[in-house]
Amino acid sequence: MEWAVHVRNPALADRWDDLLADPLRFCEPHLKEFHGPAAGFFRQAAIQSPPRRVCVGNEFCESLLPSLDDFSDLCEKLWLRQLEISFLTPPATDEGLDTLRGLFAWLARQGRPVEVVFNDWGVLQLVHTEFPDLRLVRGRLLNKTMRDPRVVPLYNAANAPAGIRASMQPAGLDSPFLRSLIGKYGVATVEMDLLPNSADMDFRELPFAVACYVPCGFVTSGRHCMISSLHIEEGSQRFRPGAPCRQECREYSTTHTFSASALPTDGTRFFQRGNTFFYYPDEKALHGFLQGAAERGVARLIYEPGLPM
Amino acid sequence: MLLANGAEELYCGMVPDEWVERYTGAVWLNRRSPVGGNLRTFADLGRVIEQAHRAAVPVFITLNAQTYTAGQLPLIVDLARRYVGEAGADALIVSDPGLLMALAEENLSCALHLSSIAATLNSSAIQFFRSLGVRRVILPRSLTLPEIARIVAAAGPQMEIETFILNDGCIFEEGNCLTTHHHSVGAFCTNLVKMSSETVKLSGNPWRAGEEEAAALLLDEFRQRIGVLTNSACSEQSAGTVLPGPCGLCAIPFFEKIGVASLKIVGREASAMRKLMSLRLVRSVVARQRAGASVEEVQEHAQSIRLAPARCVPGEMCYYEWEQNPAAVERPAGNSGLVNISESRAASIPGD
Repeated sequence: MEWAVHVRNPALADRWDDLLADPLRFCEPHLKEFHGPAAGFFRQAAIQSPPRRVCVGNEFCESLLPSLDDFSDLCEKLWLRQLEISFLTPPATDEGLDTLRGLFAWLARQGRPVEVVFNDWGVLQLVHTEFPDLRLVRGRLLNKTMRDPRVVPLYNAANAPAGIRASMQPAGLDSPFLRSLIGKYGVATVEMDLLPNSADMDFRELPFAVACYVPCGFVTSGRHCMISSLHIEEGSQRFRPGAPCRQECREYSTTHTFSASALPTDGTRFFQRGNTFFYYPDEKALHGFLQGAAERGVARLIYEPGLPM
Repeated sequence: MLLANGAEELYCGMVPDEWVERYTGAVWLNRRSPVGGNLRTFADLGRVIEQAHRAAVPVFITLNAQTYTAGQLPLIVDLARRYVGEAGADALIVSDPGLLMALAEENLSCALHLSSIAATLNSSAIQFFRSLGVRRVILPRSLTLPEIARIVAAAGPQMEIETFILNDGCIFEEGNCLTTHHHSVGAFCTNLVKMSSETVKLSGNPWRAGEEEAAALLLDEFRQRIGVLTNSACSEQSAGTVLPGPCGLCAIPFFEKIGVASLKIVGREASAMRKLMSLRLVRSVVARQRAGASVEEVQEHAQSIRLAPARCVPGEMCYYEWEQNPAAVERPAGNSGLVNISESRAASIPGD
């Protein structure tokens, strides 16, 4: 099992050694308590065997697609460190695909074994037909298992009805048809979030490698971004898909607390950055998963130094 | 009722008791609650389809959960066979690529439509799903009009495109929202409005004068927008009126021009009265369009019959951004333009 790191901005690449030595330092200040346990695991793993792979890019928002200059600078910087690259790509409009096509073309010309992580079937189609030398990885947005922390701990509890529990299996991993589809396109790796029952799953028999992000997962995403409207005057033009973006998500984050419910999940927190809401699994589930991940056949753990925006 | 009032296509869901016994009401077969948003028996479904077919109106059935597990697929495929073979459905509305592949192997005598839940945002994705046997794609409401125009132009006449036209907006991309709408907690978006929230600056820099207040105001407005997009469809009613929800009525001339095949009125869980009012609203605007009214006349008519000028005119209820002059867009060769109005058909079971 290998560890990879999501280098979500060039500054992290510049401080690679610091990131490995003290990963918690690069987390948002108000999230350190949630990030701490995974950061500790990652730090220990990095001491024993420094990661050789980084994920770059963003899989949630096409407004965060880099320019070719920024992207190529970052990639070359990482290659100088002998690091392998997985390029995370978001759901994309045709305009987003235009940008991605330019980035893929540059990557393909480099002749290096780069992975493209697709979170949109159109991106899969584009890479498969136009850039066959790039390696395809199915991203976590295409794993559609319900992960609503308000109810999933209850649905996955030992006393939950069997039908509900069975429905919580990480979807797509066990579907023979989806396996066939993935085989047809040469997808070798499938990514997922740390889902409530991930610690119980055995990934060794799957016909593809499984990679998992830790510690945070996403709950919901979309094109109606709240914070990118901060610079837009009050009114109907706010929260519009495709609205101008100044990347306010890099500066602001909102925490929401599920409350006023009689459920044991009352108090669950959601973390909004940009167009996406994230969750943290509970610490016990995280420990259980990380300690047994290698034995159960997880091929890759991807450490997120903070919320991935 | 819907046929008599001019629906040219119907779609609905049907959840048999077998599904509920196996998975309970918490796991939804087709994105809507078994009670209130679905028919319950094949006999009911057969009657709906028979009646629709007598009026030469096709009926499409939803199997559009974001995904199905391997354990669920045999039952789902069996249901699909019965929807088509026993009840006579004309198309299945699907979003899970795994299910699409499974259905392709079945060679069912029906078309496969791609649900908006598949979150098809680009032309390349249309090519991908065409290769899986899809013949119609329902685009999500999160696309802008220029983006829709580009997709329709690239899709060509072999792929029908359907767009949303009325009711039930969503602040998130439905296909990438992995939460529940179950009544025990409510939809995440509407639940969000009730959560306690705090915005922080990640740089650690102090708030500038007015900045924190602006962020709080933004959050309030975001919550209000969620309310307009969701609650105004179902719950904001006064003095016995039923207010239809957000819409794209002003885009009808644009959709006709670019060759959109079908307009979707959503709201499977809505009352029969709201469905009827929604259908009449859309029919009225489409009738103006078909009668040759100008773009401005159609839009003026649409806004006048919404009876919600405070939200309608500023655009708060609009699915689609209005920046492009629809008259400037040419219809792609081979696309015939607006041909159908798709109306949801409710379950006629207690609790609806």
